[in-house]
Amino acid sequence: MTQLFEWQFGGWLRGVPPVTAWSVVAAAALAGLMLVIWLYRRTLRQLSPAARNTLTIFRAAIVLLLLLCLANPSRVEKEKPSAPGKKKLAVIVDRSGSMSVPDYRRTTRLADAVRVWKQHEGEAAAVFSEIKYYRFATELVPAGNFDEAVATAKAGPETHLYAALRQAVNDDPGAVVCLTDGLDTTGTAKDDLANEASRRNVPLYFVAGVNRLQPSRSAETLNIREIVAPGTVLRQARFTVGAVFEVAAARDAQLPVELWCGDTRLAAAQLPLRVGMNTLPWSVPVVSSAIGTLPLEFRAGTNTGQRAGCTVEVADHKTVDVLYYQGALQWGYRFLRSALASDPGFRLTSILNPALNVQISVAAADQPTLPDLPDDVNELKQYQIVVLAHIFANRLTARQQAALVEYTRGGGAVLFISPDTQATAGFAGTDLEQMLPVVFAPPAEAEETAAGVNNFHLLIAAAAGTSGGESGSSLSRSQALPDLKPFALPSGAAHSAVSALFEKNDESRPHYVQNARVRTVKPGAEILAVSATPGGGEPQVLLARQQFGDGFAVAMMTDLLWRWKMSLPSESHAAEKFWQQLLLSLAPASGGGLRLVKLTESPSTNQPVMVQITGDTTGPTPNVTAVSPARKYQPLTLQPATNGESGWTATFTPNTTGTWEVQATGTGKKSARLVFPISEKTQSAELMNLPPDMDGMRQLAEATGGAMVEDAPVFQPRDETAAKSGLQHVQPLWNSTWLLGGLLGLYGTELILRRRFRLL
Amino acid sequence: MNEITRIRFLKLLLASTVFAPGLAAFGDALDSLRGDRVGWARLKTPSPHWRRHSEGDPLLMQFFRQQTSLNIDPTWYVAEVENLAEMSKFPLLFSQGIHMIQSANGCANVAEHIRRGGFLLVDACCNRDITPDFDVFLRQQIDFLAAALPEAQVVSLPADHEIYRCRFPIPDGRPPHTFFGNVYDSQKASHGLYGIMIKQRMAGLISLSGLQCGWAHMIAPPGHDVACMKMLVNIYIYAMMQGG
Repeated sequence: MTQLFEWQFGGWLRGVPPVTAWSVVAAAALAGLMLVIWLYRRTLRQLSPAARNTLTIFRAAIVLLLLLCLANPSRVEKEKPSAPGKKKLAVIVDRSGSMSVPDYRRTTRLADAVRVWKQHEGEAAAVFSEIKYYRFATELVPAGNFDEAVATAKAGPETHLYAALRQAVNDDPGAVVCLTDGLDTTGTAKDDLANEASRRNVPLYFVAGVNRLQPSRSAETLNIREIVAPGTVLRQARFTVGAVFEVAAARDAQLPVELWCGDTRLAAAQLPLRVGMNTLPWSVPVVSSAIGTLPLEFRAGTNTGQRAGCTVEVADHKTVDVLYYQGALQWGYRFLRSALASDPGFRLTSILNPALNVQISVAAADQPTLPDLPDDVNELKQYQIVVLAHIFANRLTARQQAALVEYTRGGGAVLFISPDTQATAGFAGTDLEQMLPVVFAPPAEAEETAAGVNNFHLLIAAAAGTSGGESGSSLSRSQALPDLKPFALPSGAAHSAVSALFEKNDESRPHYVQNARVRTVKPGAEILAVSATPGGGEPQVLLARQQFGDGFAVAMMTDLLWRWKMSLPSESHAAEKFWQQLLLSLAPASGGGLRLVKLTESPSTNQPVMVQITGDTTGPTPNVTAVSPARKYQPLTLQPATNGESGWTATFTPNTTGTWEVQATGTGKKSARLVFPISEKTQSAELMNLPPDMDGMRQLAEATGGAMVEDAPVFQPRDETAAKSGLQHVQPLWNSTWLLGGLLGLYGTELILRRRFRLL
Repeated sequence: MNEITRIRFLKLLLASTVFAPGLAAFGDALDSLRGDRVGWARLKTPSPHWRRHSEGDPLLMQFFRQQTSLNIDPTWYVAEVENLAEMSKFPLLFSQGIHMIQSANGCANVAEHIRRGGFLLVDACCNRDITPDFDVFLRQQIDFLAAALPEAQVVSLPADHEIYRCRFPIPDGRPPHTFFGNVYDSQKASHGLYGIMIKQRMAGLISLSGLQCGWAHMIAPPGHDVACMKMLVNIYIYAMMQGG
């Protein structure tokens, strides 16, 4: 981002060359000056030459200042153009095993990629100031030149493609070129990489290595990577459990998956597999029944050789600690607080933006308040939900935002509520927005105009001392207050605990008055409610949710629904139920269930198998046991996890083939189990001869502004047109308060002097 | 008509020129924190005085917008006591007195507005022709509420109540009284504010102080208008920031 000062001009002068525009301004200035001199040549009273000159100078200064304002001085922020400039280029070469396996023509994927890249090396050298070379299999290693990057004694056993690219992107090169077959065998999602590359404005280019290697039809790896389930749910509550499956497929196929509760099959599905590595999430809505423990188990594959299970505790009641932070004075707090007060299961701690200089009133000593939003994640972790109501970006410090992001990533839930498009626009590009499920709209010019006109009317009305009365004017002003509008379900919405809040077409469906517009909903986010569009048109997103780390971030783009509450009969508890159920649905973890994750991708006999235990780290260390096919139980020793996550790891070495099981039991009745086959030989996706992942590479390239490098030239020398193609943010300076104040000051001084010289 | 001297005019012009940019910047900062919009409404009752001093309401709204970030309309609205839907558009209703409401529908509407979470603010005018006896006025309000809203209790608020300090500190925890003709009345001065309580929640407030007379510039000591507006801002904010 670079900042420039520019004279932007306006109207028809905008399109003409600067010399012409300045000539017109100079001519106008000259004409203005002559007119001023001519006007002050004769005055009503005789003036001394000094007085005449002083007045002339003041008037001329006003004219010149006005012309300068009309020339539209602006501050222009230019984003870096996406086209590569004179920066360094990072070329990284995939040296994993799959790149070195020859086909029947003795051609490897590496050789194919090198051949293509050689065609472009010259054009890249002309565009970039420096080219740096790296190679990777499991980690990124610098190389002195391209030949050194390509040549290596032994190919790596795995491909950590996305991690290597992420590492390269972190150095902020002008672009990254990767010679690869696009296979990442670690199961890492590529979304984080795409987001980071976009954020740093680093385009990714891929040189695909292709050969005629036939995929192995006998081998296939299947792994249940993780289960996501709440630790505790309320009785008769609808909640969602999910699992993530990792499959390396040699051909297009379908993966049968099932969810079981004891001896009952709750759900089954066929997940589509495409050739290559697949990471497949599957979630299922479940209704909790009686109080007690709900044993859930996911099964995958035709012979259900892969199983992973956990238990969910069904409770009659649970306490939800809510931290409520309000950025502006509005009536919503009174009604939300009242709604939660009717259920003793909610404990509300309130904070009001200290800039408002207002104290929150509490009716009882057990309703705590805080002076400001904590900037320490450990303080936030005392709460299951943080509600941010009508907040402003410039009132949250970077530390507070970072703490909120960390809190959510660690399993907390954040509910962001704002009906104000301009206020939400302030969060564009902030850490908080990256966590939320929506991308905020910039303040549209039309909305700014509408707001300006509205404020103007308000000020005029205030200045005029408008009063009501029994005439028609009071009626019209009463009707001018906005009407209530209902929430609606988005088309094709799946039934869930939250969607049930918007399904009924009666008074229990919430209504709002004002909503903020969002630019878009992020991929992977779930739209829970939209605006109703009885007359057609595009519905606006009102409520959306996305998983962020282990937690949830929810954006509610409406007011706090107090007008809806006021419109309901006092006997109605619809508003109370809405808030209570919404907040309950957002607090799914409540301590988290016990989780087992198999870290060893393809376990085999006499090789150590590592599992990770997470989700119940507050209590004592869980008991973990490995069970052999012959039902021999082997207790495992736990070590604190060292991969940056909370929890423990345990390792055991299976000595026989067959179906092995790992069981973990934690506090209360929490438990988890993992069932998987042990084979004689390690089956690595690396050497399954999987075809190159062309779609994955193309998606990454397009998402970051890069391209697939093929025969056609890719890197063009940057010209002025390309330089200008970067995004510009223009901020006019002519309407600065100080400039206009100075202009007014000059004019006022001239008037005072004219009065003093008895010309007025 | 008040005439302004030339020197005073020039001073004002100079002062406005110098301070206008600073005030604009301050206003911008406050505007950026405004919440969703809300209107100030007077409860229209059968009383002929229901809109008395309403000409001063825009001044109060202006004071709100200058001193707080509340997004309140600068104009004032009318809420007809016979029209519950209209009343429900406003979370706080201002009344000259509810004892004049005679119809069953009107009584029920006042009670329902409060039960839905609304707040009722009653302020007695200081004029002896309107309010001959403030003790009687208070009794009339209590009687009305006892009949229409039996679950409510009217209690005198202590001097250390939060309502006297939640935004502006009110000296000695005593509301500023406007006295008719600026003649001190010790009996009236003995009254503080009275809360209409439903369990722990303050659902409304009765003031005998004539706050409206103060902000509408009735005869009073200098600065009394601002003191009355500060008291009202405190009442309004207290109503907003406690459970409905």
